Amino acid sequence: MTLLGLTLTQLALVMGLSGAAVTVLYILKLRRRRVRVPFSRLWDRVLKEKESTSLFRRLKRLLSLLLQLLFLLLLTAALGDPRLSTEVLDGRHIILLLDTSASMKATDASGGVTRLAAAVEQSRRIVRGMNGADSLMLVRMDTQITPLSAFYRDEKALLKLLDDVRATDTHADLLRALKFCGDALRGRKNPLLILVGDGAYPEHQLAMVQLRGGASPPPPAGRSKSGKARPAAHDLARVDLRGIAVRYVPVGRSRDNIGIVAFNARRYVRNKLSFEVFLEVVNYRKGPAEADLQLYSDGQLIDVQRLKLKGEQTARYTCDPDEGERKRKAWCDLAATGELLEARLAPPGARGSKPGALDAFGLDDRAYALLPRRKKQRVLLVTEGNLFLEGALLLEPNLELVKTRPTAYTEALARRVDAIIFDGNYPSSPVPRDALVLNPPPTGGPFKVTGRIATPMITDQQRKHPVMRWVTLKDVNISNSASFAPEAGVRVLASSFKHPVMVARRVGNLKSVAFGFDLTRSDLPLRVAFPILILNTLDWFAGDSEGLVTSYRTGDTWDINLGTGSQLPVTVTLPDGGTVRSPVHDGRALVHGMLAGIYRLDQGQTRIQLAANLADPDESRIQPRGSLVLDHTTLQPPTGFGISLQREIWIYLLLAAVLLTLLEWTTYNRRVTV
Amino acid sequence: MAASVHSRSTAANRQQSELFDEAFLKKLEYLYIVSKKVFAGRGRAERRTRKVGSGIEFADYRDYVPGDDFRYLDWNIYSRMDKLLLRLFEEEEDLHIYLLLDASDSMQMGTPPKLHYAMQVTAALCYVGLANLDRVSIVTFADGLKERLPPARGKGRIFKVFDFLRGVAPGGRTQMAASLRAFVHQNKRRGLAVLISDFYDPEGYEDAINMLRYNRFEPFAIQVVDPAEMQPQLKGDLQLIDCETGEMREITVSPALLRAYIREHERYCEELAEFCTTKQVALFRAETGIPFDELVLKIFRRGGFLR
Repeated sequence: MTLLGLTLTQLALVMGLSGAAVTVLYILKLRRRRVRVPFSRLWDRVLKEKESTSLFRRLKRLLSLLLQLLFLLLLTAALGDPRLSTEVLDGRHIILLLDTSASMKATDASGGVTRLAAAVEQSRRIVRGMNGADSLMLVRMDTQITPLSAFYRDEKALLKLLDDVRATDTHADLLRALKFCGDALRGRKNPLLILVGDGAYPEHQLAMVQLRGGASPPPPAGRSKSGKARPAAHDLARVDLRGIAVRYVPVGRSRDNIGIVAFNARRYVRNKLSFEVFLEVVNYRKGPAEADLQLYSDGQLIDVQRLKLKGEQTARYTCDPDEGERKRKAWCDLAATGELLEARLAPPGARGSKPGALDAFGLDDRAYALLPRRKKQRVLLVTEGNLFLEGALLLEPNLELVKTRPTAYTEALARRVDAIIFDGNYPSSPVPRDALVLNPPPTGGPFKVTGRIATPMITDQQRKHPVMRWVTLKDVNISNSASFAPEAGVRVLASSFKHPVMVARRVGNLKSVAFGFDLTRSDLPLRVAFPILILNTLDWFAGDSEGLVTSYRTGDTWDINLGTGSQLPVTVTLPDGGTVRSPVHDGRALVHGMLAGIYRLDQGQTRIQLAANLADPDESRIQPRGSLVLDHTTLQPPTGFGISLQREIWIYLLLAAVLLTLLEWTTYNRRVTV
Repeated sequence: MAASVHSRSTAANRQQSELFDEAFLKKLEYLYIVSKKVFAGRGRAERRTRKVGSGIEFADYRDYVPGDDFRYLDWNIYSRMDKLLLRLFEEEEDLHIYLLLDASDSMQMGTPPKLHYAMQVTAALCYVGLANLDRVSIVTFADGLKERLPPARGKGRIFKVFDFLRGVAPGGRTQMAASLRAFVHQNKRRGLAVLISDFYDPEGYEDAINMLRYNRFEPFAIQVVDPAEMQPQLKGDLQLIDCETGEMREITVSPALLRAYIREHERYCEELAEFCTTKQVALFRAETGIPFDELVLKIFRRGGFLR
């Protein structure tokens, strides 16, 4: 027996003092109630009979004192928090790894509850069944690994933590979780890892776990150039759980799911009134499935298509001609006034059905995407006259062109437009808007000019920049061009033998692009690339790009360009209505999205909306595993968690004290012990 | 002070008159106390005596001697047998009834006090005796003889009885033997001795009853018992004080002890009853919980005490 509370000396002191106090109180004479009786001789006769048992009576009175002393002894012993020595020595260190990934939201557990609810219930049983000095750490596993507690012995605290566990809309990162658990358990006595989940984890993750083998690290998978052994990346990623007992508690039983695993939409660059949708639906059932795929725009149903999928078949909606006409379905050239697109899977013929009506996993029956806001771009053209330029600008129907002479240019005029094109001129005052400068003056322009180059040849071209997409400047003839200084922050779009002739820069929220040559002294305007180049520039100014992501994947950290240049933190409103604040650096906010749905980012007057979807084929494959095999070992269910004796003996001591009090009270009132 | 005493006495009168209402007194008039023995009386009354006199109940014949009253000659016998025989009748005389009332401290216990109940019984028996022209006397006692009502006769004396009872001053220890020894020495005329007491005498009641028997009184015993004494509602740690002796005893009353006391009290009563039965002394238990008129009109009659 080991005392975890007061020491033996302290307990002896407490017992001695309290026992003495009780004995003194016991000895003190009680003031009795006086009663007059007519004939005390009768009482004498009764008491004389009792006199014969006076020894027993005395013993009974002594028994009363002994009961009280025993009561004190029990209380004092409870203060010592005694534990069985074997329990103290043999306590296990347990990590309860609870899967809270999206698949745990599937409602196929017994009783129609979610897998998570079933898992929490199983976890509760494990916590309640802890014995002796077992200590348990509760860890939540989704895309992030979150330890919810340290190694606790407090059953109540652990149960409280379990009450607050919620599933997220993200995938499970099993490897990271197992690594964390391995690190946390290594070096501890009797380590035990219990995984409670549906087992719906990718095979490649399961194959990375090492449970058995010697203490030596795994053998090298390759050799370096020097001939020395080096572990392959595969081996570095292995999770070493050797020496740790791993147990598995499965939940879930259905693989019934049809899910949207990808959903995105974009406006056409040339026709921003229309958009196209990219969408993938997978039938994870073994047999065929039929469903309605509905497309909503701002809550209005705009199209429904009946899907008939064979078992394990994928349907892909794409406008990419490479897919082949036979294989692909298409949602192209769609037109809708709304910005929020929502794709829903519903039972055939159903309208407005709730998520989960089609299958056990409702999360991937809906997907969201946001189209860029559609608006006309006002462009101020400051020129003495340039028909090539005006012609190119006329191609874009979403442009509203304002033309002015350089002498009529004012800053007030500039503030009324979204972008400005300076053709051979540049004002001395600061330009308040994004600007394209053609043939800038040697001094006073937005970029530093180092000199002029005669008949430059475009030798290098930055193809990844949005301004240069779909543009080839090969063999463009240019009479002469300014050469720009490659200053910090300046992106060189095109150069002639290391002399930048086309540059771009972003300072804060303002973007600038400069072509170092006069259009009229070049054959660029005659090239197909010219209008594209101009419109790319204007699109870059407007924030449009072909790489525009309109929907994000949950579980990732999103790098969001707020486009304001402000460093103020942004308030993120989550799909469930909660809000978080996220810091902003260089006009970009980092948000970790755990829930699918629409996010709203507010920074001052600026508001941005984001759509997030599960978009994870592995997570949508909700087929549970009744048994989990790691490193050729089938994981067994946990043992030694029967609900039996409470671990803390002091509770029983208190219980005994209470029972003793009741006994003493009863015997006193029945005058047995007096 | 005097006014308050007067008002108290008036209230007591009213109470007495309420207890002995007209109908009840009428019923009592038809009763008389049964005496098994025949005692010699002084005045003529309604009791048989050994004397042969002018009663109406035939007793015997005797030879005529000159001077006898001719009216008592049996002429039928004379005509048949030619003998002058005189008819003798039992002369009816009065009876001495002594009501011995225990007025010790123990009789003041109970709700209502046993003494009050005993006084009511005493008054009722007095009235029965007075109505039958018996000589009724009341003697109170505790550790000795106390007040005494001289023998009275006739219903008209009942108010004197009430006054006497109202003036009884209770108190003192119970010493029945000594008290009754004094009683028998002071009263040479034998008669009925009705002993009204709770019989809570530390020295025992046997000597007292035997004292009456040995001195040729016909004792009747009426044991006044309070129900609270038979089954007391006591609990817990108590200090018992004897109301007469002042003895103190600390006890803890448990249900078992209480049950033992009840058994002991019952045994005490049974011992008294057994003693009285052995000595052919009529004993009545008068529980103060029983209505007074029921005791007098039913229980006493059923027990043969009144007829």
